Amino acid sequence: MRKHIVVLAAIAVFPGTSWALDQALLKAAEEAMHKGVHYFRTEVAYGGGYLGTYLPDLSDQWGEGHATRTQNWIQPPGSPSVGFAFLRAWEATGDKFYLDGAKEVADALVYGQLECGGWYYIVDHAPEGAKRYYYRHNKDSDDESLKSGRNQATFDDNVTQHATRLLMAVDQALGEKDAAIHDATLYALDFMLRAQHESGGWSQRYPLSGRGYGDFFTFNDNTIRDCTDVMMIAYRTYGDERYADAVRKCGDFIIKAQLPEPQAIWGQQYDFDLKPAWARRFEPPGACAGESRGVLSLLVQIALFTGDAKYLEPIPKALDWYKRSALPNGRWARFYELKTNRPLYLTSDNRTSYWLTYDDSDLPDHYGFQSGSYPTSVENAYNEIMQQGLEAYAKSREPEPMTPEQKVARAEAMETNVRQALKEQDEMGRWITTTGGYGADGGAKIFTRVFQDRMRVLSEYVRLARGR
Amino acid sequence: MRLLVLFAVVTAVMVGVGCVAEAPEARVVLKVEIQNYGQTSGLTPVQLPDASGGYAMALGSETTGAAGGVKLAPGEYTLLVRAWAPDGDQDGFFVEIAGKRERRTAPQETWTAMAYNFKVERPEVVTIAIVGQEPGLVVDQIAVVRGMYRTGELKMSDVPGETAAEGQVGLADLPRLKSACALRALPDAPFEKDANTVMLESFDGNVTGAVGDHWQVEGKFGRALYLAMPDGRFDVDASGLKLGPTGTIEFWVRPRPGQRLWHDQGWHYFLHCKPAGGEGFQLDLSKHWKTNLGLTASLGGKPFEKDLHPREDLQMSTNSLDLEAWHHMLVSWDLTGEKQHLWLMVDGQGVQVFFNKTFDPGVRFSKIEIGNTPSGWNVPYLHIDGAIDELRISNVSVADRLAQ
Repeated sequence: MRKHIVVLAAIAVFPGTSWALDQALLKAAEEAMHKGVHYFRTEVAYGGGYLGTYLPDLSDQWGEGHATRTQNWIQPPGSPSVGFAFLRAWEATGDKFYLDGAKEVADALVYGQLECGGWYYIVDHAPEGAKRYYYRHNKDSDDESLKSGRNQATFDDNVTQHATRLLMAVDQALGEKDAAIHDATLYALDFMLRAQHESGGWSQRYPLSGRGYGDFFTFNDNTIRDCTDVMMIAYRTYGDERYADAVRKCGDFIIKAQLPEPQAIWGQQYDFDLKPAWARRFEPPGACAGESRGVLSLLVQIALFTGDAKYLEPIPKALDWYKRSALPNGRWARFYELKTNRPLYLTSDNRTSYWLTYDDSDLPDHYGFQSGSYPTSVENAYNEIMQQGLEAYAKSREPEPMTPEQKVARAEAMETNVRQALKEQDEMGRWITTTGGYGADGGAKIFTRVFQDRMRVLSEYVRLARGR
Repeated sequence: MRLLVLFAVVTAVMVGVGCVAEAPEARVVLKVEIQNYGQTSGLTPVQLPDASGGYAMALGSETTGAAGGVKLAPGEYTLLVRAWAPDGDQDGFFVEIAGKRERRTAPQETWTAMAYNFKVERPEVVTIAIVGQEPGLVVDQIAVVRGMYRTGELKMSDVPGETAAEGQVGLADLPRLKSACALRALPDAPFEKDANTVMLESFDGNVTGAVGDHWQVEGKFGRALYLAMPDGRFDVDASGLKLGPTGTIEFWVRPRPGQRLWHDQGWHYFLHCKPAGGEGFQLDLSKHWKTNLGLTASLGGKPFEKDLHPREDLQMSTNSLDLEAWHHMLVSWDLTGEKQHLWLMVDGQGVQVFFNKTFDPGVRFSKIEIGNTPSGWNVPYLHIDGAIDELRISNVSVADRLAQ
């Protein structure tokens, strides 16, 4: 009898918890999450933000390159990505401890927001950093040296976009009640709207410098795709039509930028005459198979978002190009020469000088000159949409809520990975590995990507186990 | 007696530790006013307090400066350049010693003898050039002394002799010298045919010789030929042109401004002079990240091949060229005599080189190709995607048109 009362009481305290699950494992997972985040928040963070890689004793650190202790790194898996890991933990547990961590990251992003409204690759909390970059929080300072630093943000590597995503997520998690975060979020979104060219594209950097390829419209590294994604999230979050217009405008840009037949894909970067343009020394103007896959996916997303099938019209011609242009090895070159459609490559003198060639026998290994696969998922989506219609397809893609039994089953299926994550965590809450990001040289390091992966597993497990 | 011994010991010790200095005059290999050094171009006299003789010479852009050669025995040397920078940003310039270029900035509003150390391994003529970068930077005198000194250790006034030129080699005795050059006057009207013109194309009327995507547009003067990406090119059948050991090819060009060609990291081909029979004197003009705007003279082959030999190269930066404007490009050669010459100029400013006879003066081109990858190379398109106008090919070099 007493046992039944205990069980009933437990169910009352923890509604949704399945007692079919290993409760000890669940408890251990929650403790590991707390320990890991506690370590990050109290020992690793600087100014509330994060880099990408640390020595286990935190005596050295890296972003994409070597960094100082006072710096935060913005592109994934830097600061915003860590913030999302905290938010997932909060959603899984409801524990304000994690939301506080996410807010610290958001505050660090507010600190590092440039006066123009976006972010550069690095935020530097040191006094020198405040002179090297013109931060928005120094806008009203009397010290001119704090207002003469860099004020050009980047959309490269998902920097400004991911920072803005995290701010939106934290802003919503806080009920839009934190004035500074809310204001910074809308300021960033206004910046992104200003940065969108009247043709609908986004450049790699903004404000424009008047020189160099950073001003050019850039599909490379998903620059335009990430900007559009942010606009979609912004519209769904705040309901402002300007964000939806920006998505439509981008879709129109993509249609205009499609190269003429018989190479109906896209270039990697475009100049202001909407012609494929040189970017870095190893990025020639040409038809770009690499980035066009992402562009095709983006068109499907834009069509679903807007409900307008015109954004699907470029797809069949592009798919046809892929079918005709595969290499004998079944892959595709990254670049194809305009008009001739011959694959283009570059040879290199020690990564400083690159010479355009048709010869693929001596390719530099730091760039993907051949890659990839046929965009099957896009073709499947396109065919299904053509069959069902946009609206029906969109509806069919909405995730069904999981039943409690499904959640339990899914949680059980994750137990092996959870145990592995627990086993790898040390007594301080660290996950130390030898691989997992920039700066990997075979030595033991703390990689924020590894932290995020472990936290993802644990948060998802706890969320399912708790029936959330 | 004791004093004599003491003196001998002290002297020996001092010799042992190198404290006994060489007589000052023996240290000096060269000391000259820059305007009297070697081959000069584009130097502008400015009056300045404390300049030798009351005035010194202001440099301009990279197409200005002074270049010459000094005969040196093996050893360690210091080049001193007495320089002065005005207040502001114009404090950078280049020094080139034996072809190695270094950029430094001179202190503002104070004369400084800037020191550049170098070593000579075997007896040779070392070419030394002072090259402008930021117009307004002023140079007074240069000197070459034996020994290694840092900036600040020696003033120019420490270097004895008003001018000492024991080691300066006359231009005729230098095996090679690169220096800045300029036209007396930039063409400002359509070219007119003269006795030396072997080909003139205004692109005003019907045009033959264009291949790939091309059309006519408004030009610098009248109409121009637009050579579009990816494959536009203009070919001249040069087999009938009476070109020889001297010649000049010049034209106006305006790459499409939107591509920002002049300061991009791309590779663009402007000119290829194809030797008849595939071997013989060949000229290539292209812009590439590694070479800037680079002119290569060779005996056939591709300029970007590492083992191309013999070859002569000239390079100039295009970073400051106006994207919207028309620009005059000029390539010229003189293969007569024991010293052969090449010139490369943009908008009347450029670089020149002379070198000991290397190429057979019997120049015969089969084709002259403008605006894209040379035909027959199996190299991808390297378009200029822009317009060309007023092409003139002459059978004389540009030497008589140079500013002195």
